Amino acid sequence: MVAAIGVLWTVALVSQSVPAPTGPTRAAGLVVGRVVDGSTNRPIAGAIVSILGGFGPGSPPRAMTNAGGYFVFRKLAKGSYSLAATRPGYIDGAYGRRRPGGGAAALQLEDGERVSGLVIAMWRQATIGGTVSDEAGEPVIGAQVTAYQRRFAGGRYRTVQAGTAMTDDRGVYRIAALPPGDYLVAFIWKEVSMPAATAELLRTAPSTNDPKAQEALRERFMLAPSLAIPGSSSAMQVGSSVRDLPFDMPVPPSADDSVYIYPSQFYPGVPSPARSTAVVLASGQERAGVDFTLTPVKTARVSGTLVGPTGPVANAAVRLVATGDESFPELDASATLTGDAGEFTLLGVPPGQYTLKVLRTPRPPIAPPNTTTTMTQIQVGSSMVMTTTTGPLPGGTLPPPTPVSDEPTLFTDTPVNVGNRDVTDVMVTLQRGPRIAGRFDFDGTHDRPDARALMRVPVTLDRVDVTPAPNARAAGLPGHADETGAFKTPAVAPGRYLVRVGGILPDWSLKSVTVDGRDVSESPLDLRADVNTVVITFTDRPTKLNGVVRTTEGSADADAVVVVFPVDQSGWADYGYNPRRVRSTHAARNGSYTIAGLPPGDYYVAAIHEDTTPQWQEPRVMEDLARGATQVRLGDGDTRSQDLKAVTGASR
Amino acid sequence: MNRRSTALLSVSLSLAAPVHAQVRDARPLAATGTGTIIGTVVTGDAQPRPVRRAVVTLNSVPSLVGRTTVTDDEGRFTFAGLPEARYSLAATKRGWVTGSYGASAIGRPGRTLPLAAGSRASVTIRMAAGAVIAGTIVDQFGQPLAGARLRVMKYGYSALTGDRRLNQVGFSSSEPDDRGAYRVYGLAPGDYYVSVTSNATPLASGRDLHLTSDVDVEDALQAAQRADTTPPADVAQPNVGFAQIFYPGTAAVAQATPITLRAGEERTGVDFLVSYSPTVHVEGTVTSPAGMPVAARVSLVANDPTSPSMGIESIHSTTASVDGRFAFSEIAPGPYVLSAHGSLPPEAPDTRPQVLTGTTDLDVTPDGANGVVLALQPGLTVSGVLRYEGAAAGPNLSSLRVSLAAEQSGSGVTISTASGTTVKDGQFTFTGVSPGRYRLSVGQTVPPAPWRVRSATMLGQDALDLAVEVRQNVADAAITLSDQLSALTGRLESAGAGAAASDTMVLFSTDRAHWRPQSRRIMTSRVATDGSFAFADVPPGDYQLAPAEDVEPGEWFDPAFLQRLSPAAIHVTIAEGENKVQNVRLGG
Repeated sequence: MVAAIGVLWTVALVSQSVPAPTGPTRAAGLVVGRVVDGSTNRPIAGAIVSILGGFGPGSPPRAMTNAGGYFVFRKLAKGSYSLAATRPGYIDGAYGRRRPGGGAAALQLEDGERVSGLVIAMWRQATIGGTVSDEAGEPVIGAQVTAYQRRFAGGRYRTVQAGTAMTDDRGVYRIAALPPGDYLVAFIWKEVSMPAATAELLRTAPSTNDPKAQEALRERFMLAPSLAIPGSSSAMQVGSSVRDLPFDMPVPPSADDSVYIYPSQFYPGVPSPARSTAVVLASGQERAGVDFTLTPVKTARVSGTLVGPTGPVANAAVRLVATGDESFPELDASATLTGDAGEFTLLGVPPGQYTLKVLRTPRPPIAPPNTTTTMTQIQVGSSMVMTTTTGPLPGGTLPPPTPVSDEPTLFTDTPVNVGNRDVTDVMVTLQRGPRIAGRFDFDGTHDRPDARALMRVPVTLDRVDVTPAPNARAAGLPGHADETGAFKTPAVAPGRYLVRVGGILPDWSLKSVTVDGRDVSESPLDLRADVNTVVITFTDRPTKLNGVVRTTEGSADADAVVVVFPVDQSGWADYGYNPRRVRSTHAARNGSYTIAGLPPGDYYVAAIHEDTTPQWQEPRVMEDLARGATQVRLGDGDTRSQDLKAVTGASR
Repeated sequence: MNRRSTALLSVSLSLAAPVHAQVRDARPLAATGTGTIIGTVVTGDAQPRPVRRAVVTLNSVPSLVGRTTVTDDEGRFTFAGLPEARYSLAATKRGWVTGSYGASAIGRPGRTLPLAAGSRASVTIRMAAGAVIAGTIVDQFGQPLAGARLRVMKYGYSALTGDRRLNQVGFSSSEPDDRGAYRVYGLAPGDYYVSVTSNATPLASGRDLHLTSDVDVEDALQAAQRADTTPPADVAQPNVGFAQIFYPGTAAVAQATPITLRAGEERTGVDFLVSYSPTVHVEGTVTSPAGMPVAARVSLVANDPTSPSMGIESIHSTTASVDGRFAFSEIAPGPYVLSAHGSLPPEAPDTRPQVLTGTTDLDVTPDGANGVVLALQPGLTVSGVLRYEGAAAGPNLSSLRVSLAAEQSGSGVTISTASGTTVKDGQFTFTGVSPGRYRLSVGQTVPPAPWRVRSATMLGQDALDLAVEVRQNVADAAITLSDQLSALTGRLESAGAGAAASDTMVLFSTDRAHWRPQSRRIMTSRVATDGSFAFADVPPGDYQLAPAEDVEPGEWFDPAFLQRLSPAAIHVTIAEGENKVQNVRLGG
């Protein structure tokens, strides 16, 4: 106990009193290589190359290439390394990467090994630029322009956000760092508002611990990253709502009691992605003149009440999403929070067809009132950094994960058609979403992991049938097991999901996830109601597939990428972002490869070169590859050796 | 269940820019009335043109009404349904210099507009397109510099420290684009300093970077071709980084050239060539009072009190794991402050962990610093009571958060740590308090209206207006809330033509000990167009009241400024709950 009679405050500063760490034998590995332009093979000077792996927790070193594009790393210990290169104006390069965005390889380094002749290719980035002006021909300052790229990802074609930029005082924008490809370019407007009473509550929230204010604050930050206070330049009161004015971008004035907006627009001046013309970019191309002219549109309001199983739902985010292409990220036309009685008013809705969406997932508990909050304040001159830590400080033990919430997930997808008039009195009833539950099973001879380890294995449900908004922050918490190995997830919205198991259990790897004997880790589960009979089985005998890739001349092919996909074509699509049966690995410098943990089954194995066979994850390319591929069957715990010859690019 | 074991570890970081306006009042919702303000926003040219799409904000003084609207194609706007009050109006537009109603010039503070019930006022607000600074940033090889952040700064009073410092201004993306080009816009006429710093964030530890030398490459290529096992030569790979430089290319702000911008001017070619300079490592161990390694959060902060522009790039943070070891890289040699806090596991399951803190000065030499040992000490405890005295029912004390805030130093570095919980049964306790000067209050801003903090004391001394030195445990802290508000209103009357120039009334404590930044006993009121002024929520005490003109924001916290006002000031005593009227006659 600290005596109350005053504590002598001393700080000991003793130089050199702690001996230097006595690590393993002195690392003597050496890597020397060059960074080159992948299109011209000319050296790139001034690129920053970083090397990761083989180090302790310290900072991995970086080297800037000299005029000849050379870099040198010395004193490397034995281990597996990855190397990456960056330079303004270029798309990031990596050791083993053969095309922009392609796969990287690991560099295996033996004790004291010296590697030269390493080449890292980089490609000039493409850019899209233009201007945004309003109906009077004046530049629009602070407008956000977004480039979307259509890609095959997670087992289906999706349109993903590739870059954004904001217009400057001339109305000029420039989106850089784009790989070659087809892009849709858009000015996106999302009308965000909240009830005036909520805005007032939030204004005073910082000085209280009022749980209602804290909840409103949390939900608001999930909707938009700022607080909108009437009387400031970033918020405007309209009736009993407060509109956001993001980035100080000018909005048209309201007239005749209606809100006018500059609605979302796709290049060249069309309202939806379906009618947009793609901007096609070659490597390093600078595309200018992708201009937008904004025109004000009179909009309607959509208002109503949100009711859940136990009555009105307050502080829920209500979003109005344009109905359209499901592969496109959800575009919110308007979003708001419900008021105390579940009432909501969505402002600024242009005529069109929409889906009113609410997804209320269980939230992590707000810090209980007795939680210790540690505030560290560092003031340097006129700058101040405040770090607030809630809960244990470093030195405390890692707490077990928060118990999986039994709170319901409430959702709705309600179609709303909006014409030129306000839509009022929309009664929206939220439904309860399903969850999965079951048990962990261990098939093997090793000791079962202890309860603490079990509780740290996250079980998540990955949705495959919807492309989430690019910065959807409402992602739910993972589920996990309890001390007995029984697990459950929080409830989700109905849909098609893959069950994913993360974390690391020493000696054990995932074998299967089954519902009544059917594996649901590889084929999506159509989740409409609770499923309580999920068995997640771990094995201590994972399968292993290895071999050597050789060129047609018979020498080791260090440039090859080995791809594995199931013989059953139903596994070629909708396999999610972390598939278990669709895998690839880069061959090592001696041409060898290893892929561990494939679920038992029949597979095609092929070695490709990514510069000539890009997009091998697409079903049509798999079909080509399957013709020349080797078929292997993996049984439970099998280790198979399969040497390969790389297929040429002719298979496209 | 043990609270500590269920709480998730969450770290939030807020970069507090100097805050000029503090939200001081809660206002009733939707205050409405019968007054109307119509107006036009125009350019400040000789032939004014309407400014369309300007955002016009209207706020009553004191803050009861806040409204925002947008001008139409003719620059017009209307606020209707306004209650009787004094209003300030401002027009903003991204890329433009903010105009305030009644301002002597664009970019200067305005006057307030008294609006009577049922009346209609017509106003004009002038604003101007901002000036621009643009250029490119390249490294010593003539290539776009990666990881750079550009700052355009102007001297102004710091709300945090009360002295004149360089503060960042203007709109821009803070990082140059892929060609190294930058463009900062929306600047008012004036003198600007431009600098380039690293864009590393305080929570990201630095990463070693070396420039590849030709000697290094030659040696490495030869070593790779040799078949023998002799280890390669030990070619030095010194680490480099870049430090803040000011236009036109100097590390010292005293040698920097300010860029003088005229209204709306576009200044291009403000280019930078940045050279890399050596950086070193700082490595060491954090220990408990018993000399055992302890996990901790560790900060290393550059300490150069002569720099008027030190910012967040001066702060490096990392975590020492259970072996107590920490390492910083990319550190430029020079004077630093090293600080850490951690905790020992609790002795019993239901007790709080003991919080340890420590701070020391550290000179980092060109060879770096190795084997630094930072021995932490138990933090201090500050405990006391929160109570309410008043006629009406008091606030829910358990919903309030008590704050123990370290006093900001005028220069240099202050680092403080304190752990606290919410108030329970009127009692509060802070643990792990690092020794230093602290002030005690409620909330991060103020308690909800109509309650005010009447007093806060520690060790029998005032801890509300003045910081108290905490070097030992404090058990007698006390905070008293009250609902007795005092106010001062009046009118500035003129005998001659002088009144027009005095646009601000300054009310400041007669006690010079209160002449410090963020003092609640220094207040200003904009003089309305009819000469009226008002101060709400004045802490009881003795004050001086004086008119001033063309005051820079925050200048009133400068003791030299108050000193200049003193001779002409009127003495006013405000009692608790008093609504005082004091008119001031100028030039008589």
